[in-house]
Amino acid sequence: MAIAAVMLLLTVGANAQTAKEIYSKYSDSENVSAVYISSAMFKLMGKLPSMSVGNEDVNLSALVKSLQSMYVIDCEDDETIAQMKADVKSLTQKRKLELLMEAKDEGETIRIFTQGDEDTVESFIMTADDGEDGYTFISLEGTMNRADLEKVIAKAAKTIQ
Amino acid sequence: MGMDPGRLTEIAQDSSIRVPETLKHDIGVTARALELLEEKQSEETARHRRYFGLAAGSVAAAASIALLLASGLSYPKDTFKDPALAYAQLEETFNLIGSKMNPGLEMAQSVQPMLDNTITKVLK
Repeated sequence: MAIAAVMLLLTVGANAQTAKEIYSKYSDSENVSAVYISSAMFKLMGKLPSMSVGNEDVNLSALVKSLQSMYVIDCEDDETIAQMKADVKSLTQKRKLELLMEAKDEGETIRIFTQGDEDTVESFIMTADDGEDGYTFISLEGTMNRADLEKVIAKAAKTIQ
Repeated sequence: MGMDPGRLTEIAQDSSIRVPETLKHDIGVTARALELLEEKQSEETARHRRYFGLAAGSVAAAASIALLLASGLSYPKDTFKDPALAYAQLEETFNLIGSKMNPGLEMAQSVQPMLDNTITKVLK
């Protein structure tokens, strides 16, 4: 009986361990906007026209075909933000994600985590902590070619000033 | 008959009361039988409690496992039904990632010449 009670408590109170769990936990909360794109939806995108990232046309069909999921959560409630930060920290530690970049600029802290090898990125997570203005969590999962992903992001970064 | 077994035993052992031998024997047997009956009832009650506890624990454990499995197997619902809208959102997300990375990349680029100089001096 005691073991069963402990198992139930673990189920209910456990920290979210994956991007999917974080999305499921917070997407319906107040002051949270959330987006999810599934593997099936990425497949439906099919043969895409050139996608304009920044001001240049970039063909992202190869990258899109390698994506399995995208989660975006934007939160403005302080209490929810605190919980979400704890869950994201737990996620990055448990899954041993590598901190690729951390930047602090005008009160906003940006962190980027990845998981994969030299050629492939299996998980890409970006968090943007803007203090009072909110907290954003972005997760991309799949088998993305590292060079393709870096190229797209670099183009987007260069052309958005 | 509703008589306390202890009382029956007392009566059986009271030598001042003359009772036929057979009756004395019968009272003793009845008292012992009542004691045995009480013991048996206590054992059965304890056994029922154990079985109920085990059953309740098993149901709770099964429910926990089912809850764990269900949370792992279910997937959220797609935000968009139209792939074109999903595509637009993907574009917006990459733009957001790029805009957030910009300050960090600019900072890294600005210190690059300093870093190159330092490395050159160290290697000399």
